[in-house]
Amino acid sequence: MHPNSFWGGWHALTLALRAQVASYRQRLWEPLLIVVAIFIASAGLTAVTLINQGASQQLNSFRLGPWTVSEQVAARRINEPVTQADYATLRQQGFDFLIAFTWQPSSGQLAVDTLAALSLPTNGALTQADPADTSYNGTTRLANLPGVQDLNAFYQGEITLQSHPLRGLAIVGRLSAIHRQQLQNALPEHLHVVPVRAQPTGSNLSDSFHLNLWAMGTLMLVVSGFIIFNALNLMLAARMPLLIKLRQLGIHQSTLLWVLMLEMMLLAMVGAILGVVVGTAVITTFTPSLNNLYQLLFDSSFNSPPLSIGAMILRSSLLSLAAVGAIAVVALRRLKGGMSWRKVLATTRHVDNQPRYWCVLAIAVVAMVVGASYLTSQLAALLFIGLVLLVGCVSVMMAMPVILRGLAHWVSAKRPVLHWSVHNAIGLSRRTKLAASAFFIALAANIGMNVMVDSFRIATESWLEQRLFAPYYVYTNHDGDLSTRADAPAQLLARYGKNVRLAGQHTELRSFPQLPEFKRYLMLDQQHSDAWPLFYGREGVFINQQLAYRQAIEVGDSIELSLNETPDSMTVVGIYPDYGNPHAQILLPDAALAEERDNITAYAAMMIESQTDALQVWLDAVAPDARLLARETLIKQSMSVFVRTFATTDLLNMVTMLVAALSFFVSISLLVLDITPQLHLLRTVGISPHIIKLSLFGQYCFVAVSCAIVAVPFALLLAWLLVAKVNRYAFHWTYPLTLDPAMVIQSLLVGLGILCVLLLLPLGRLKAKFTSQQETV
Amino acid sequence: MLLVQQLTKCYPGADNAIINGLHLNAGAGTSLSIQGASGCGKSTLLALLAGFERCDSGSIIIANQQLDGLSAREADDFRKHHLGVIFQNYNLLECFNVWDNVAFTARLKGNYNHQHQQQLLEELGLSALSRAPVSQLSGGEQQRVAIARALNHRPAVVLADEPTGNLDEKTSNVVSDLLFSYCRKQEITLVVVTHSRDVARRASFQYSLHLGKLCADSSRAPQ
Repeated sequence: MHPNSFWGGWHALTLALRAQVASYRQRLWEPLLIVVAIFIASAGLTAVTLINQGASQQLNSFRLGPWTVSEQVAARRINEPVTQADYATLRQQGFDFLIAFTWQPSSGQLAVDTLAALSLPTNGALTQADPADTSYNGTTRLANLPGVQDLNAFYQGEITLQSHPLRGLAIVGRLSAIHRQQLQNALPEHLHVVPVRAQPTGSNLSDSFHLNLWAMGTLMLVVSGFIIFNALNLMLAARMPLLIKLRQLGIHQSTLLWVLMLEMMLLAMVGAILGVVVGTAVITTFTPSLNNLYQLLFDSSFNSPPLSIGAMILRSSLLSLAAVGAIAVVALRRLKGGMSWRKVLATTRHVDNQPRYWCVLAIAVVAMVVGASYLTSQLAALLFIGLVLLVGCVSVMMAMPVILRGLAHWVSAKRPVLHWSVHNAIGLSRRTKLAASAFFIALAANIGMNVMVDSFRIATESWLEQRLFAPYYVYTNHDGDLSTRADAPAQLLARYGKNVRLAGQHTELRSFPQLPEFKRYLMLDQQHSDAWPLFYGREGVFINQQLAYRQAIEVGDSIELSLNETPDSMTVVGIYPDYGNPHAQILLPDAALAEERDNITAYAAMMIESQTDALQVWLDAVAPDARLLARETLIKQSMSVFVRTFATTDLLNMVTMLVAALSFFVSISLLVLDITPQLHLLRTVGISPHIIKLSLFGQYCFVAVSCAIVAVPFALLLAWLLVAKVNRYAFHWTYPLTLDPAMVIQSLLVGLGILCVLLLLPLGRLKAKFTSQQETV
Repeated sequence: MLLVQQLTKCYPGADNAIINGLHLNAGAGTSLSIQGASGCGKSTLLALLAGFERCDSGSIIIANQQLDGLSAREADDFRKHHLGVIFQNYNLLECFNVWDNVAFTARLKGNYNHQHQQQLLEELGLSALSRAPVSQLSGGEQQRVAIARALNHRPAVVLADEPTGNLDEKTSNVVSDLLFSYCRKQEITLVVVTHSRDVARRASFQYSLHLGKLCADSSRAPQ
């Protein structure tokens, strides 16, 4: 015993550390693979975070020709808007990068000072023409600014700066610190620099998109946690024989725990920091490519995400340290468990063999399925998704060995290699359960999200197909009612609009044609038995899901509606889906709104293609700002917004899946080291290397497929929760859950494919040899 | 049954051949023990006899088949049919119980016979343990399983690398007796590499490997 207990403890600690480090000489792959696993998790988490941030910025920016505008000068208070004088003063002071803009209230189209935009001192397409050239008129300018209206064209007739003030002054390009300071000094008191807000319309899926990004970020965090814990758990398993030997030699378990924790913390920090650095470098390198891709595919932008490497390192480190803390508890239990490795192994009982755990799991699954129906808030739904994934992970851990035992029962012993392969997969499934859980979460989330998005896409598509009943639509700010003009070359049905407050909530009133032939164009979730007679008789109204869900209104209920001064009590005769609309909406017959309208949101043009030229000529004469759009174009535009919204989610999903699969690969690589003597035996008894590799790969596939089998039902439950609960409480709409088996199988195969390709990698060289005693220590 | 002539093996970078013109001739049912200092080439000799490694010159004939001309695939088939191997560390298939471990080689060769295996297990004192997972067995029991596995498919030659290296003296004696007597009875040629004089003494012929050649243990005279 050392004379001084402190120095004795220190001496024991250094000795144990030296023994630990000495083991690196023989089994360097172990710590290396642990670092790689943590590195992958950290890099994946960093990449997903940065993609998330970069993609989120597209919602807080708009395109102005070749530029992306993400900041603006805006009013501090609504009653002191940006004025023409403010704009002129600032530009006179040399702030040429400020461009006045506003949004059209009805269509959400952007209107800007195109003359100022064209004089921007950049090498963009806008500067190719001389703004002083009088032949270079508004039409030519607009050709260079696709999707943008000129402010002069916007402010016509009764639309004035008083009735429709400027939304703000767009800041084109990125401000340097000096320019920002100069601008802030020059701004009058009522103005300030703020990020651009999402457009009022046209990006109405943005909330859904934000929620998806948040969900994917959280999912990646959970998956990373599992991966890091799994890596450390594998390391603990590899270290235990040495730790037990050191304990047998008289080193106290607390000293050994410190040694283990020190080693794990060091490896975890190296992996975490490297992961953040590499993840950041990869996303930074690919930002221009991602931006080009976004512009090409979605007419959108992927901006350089704001980098905070320190914060990301801190987050990855904390996650790793939390995993080290958790593994310390496990290590302590094992070190207390016994003084011999054999005893530790003997006391390790598999939960999948114990009926009481199955009973608990069965009760949990039943309670989960029943409980899902009683969720009544967005937070509860999101927490419930977490619970579903947790129960799913436990199910994977318990079910994988059972599924494989079932398979082993059917595999004939007359095929000895296959027989061994399946039996060995049972043990492998127990040892890879944490990695399998990470893969399960990624796979279940991928399938669940794909089912949700597919259902949403199908619902939106069929809803658009049905709702857009006219072959053409006209959008204009024209003040009069074009549908009442006798000289119109085609029948125009006005869609009247009025905004009211119902129970303190902003609510849109919209007209619906009173003619019976249009009945079939209104898709209804629920309806009153006398819905249409009541509607035509102005006693009933149709309301959208958003209003029904927000205010818990059901068919047959009455609502108080003030069209003019006197409130009318109307019966709700039907509830219709209105995907993408953030607002509550009520449908009234044409005649009810024709007089009381605030505006006409659009005209449905009931005509054939040959009449379009005549209508266009007529519109140019009576309403020059009118846009005539074919039904197909509108559907295409809406669906492109849809694709843009969910493409990033798909990308994040894939990254998560890849990271989880990589973690599986690392686990397998480590575990293959442990079965090396068995592989030597197989070679020795005359089994060729490629048969052994095939049987190893078969084992990995058995484990992956058994994990996937458990993932599918959980993924479908997840999809139902996303559709029926999260959408219901987050956006106040629902749609039918569409289960396309081909899509589910495709998602499953993509996940398994990624995993299987990676799992081919650990199948290194196999050699038959007599393993000496020294080699196996 | 086992005929080795002028066998030579030299590792790249080594000054001397580790096996240097070695001769060996053993008939069916005979047993040979090979002793020698660590690093003298015992494991290399076994690896050559098993076809794991190729010799530089000379020839090995086992069960009338010349090993050095075989392709990798033919060598695999040869081992499957004619060789049984016993490792110092047993190398049992941990996912299987005793019965399946022992049956593995016979199933692979295609001559699995339930009664034969039952009898073999009885002779090796394993019949009561046939359904036990191998991870729950003692070292002696595990080695007996490894021996049963090496014998069950009725090979022509069994190669044993330190078969009792991990066992205590008493267990070592039991295991050795079983191995030698069974091979003698079944007319299997047994080659045992060992450090144990007690084990070596049980063999029909006892050799030492020295400077790449086999010497009769008593005189160390080259064969």
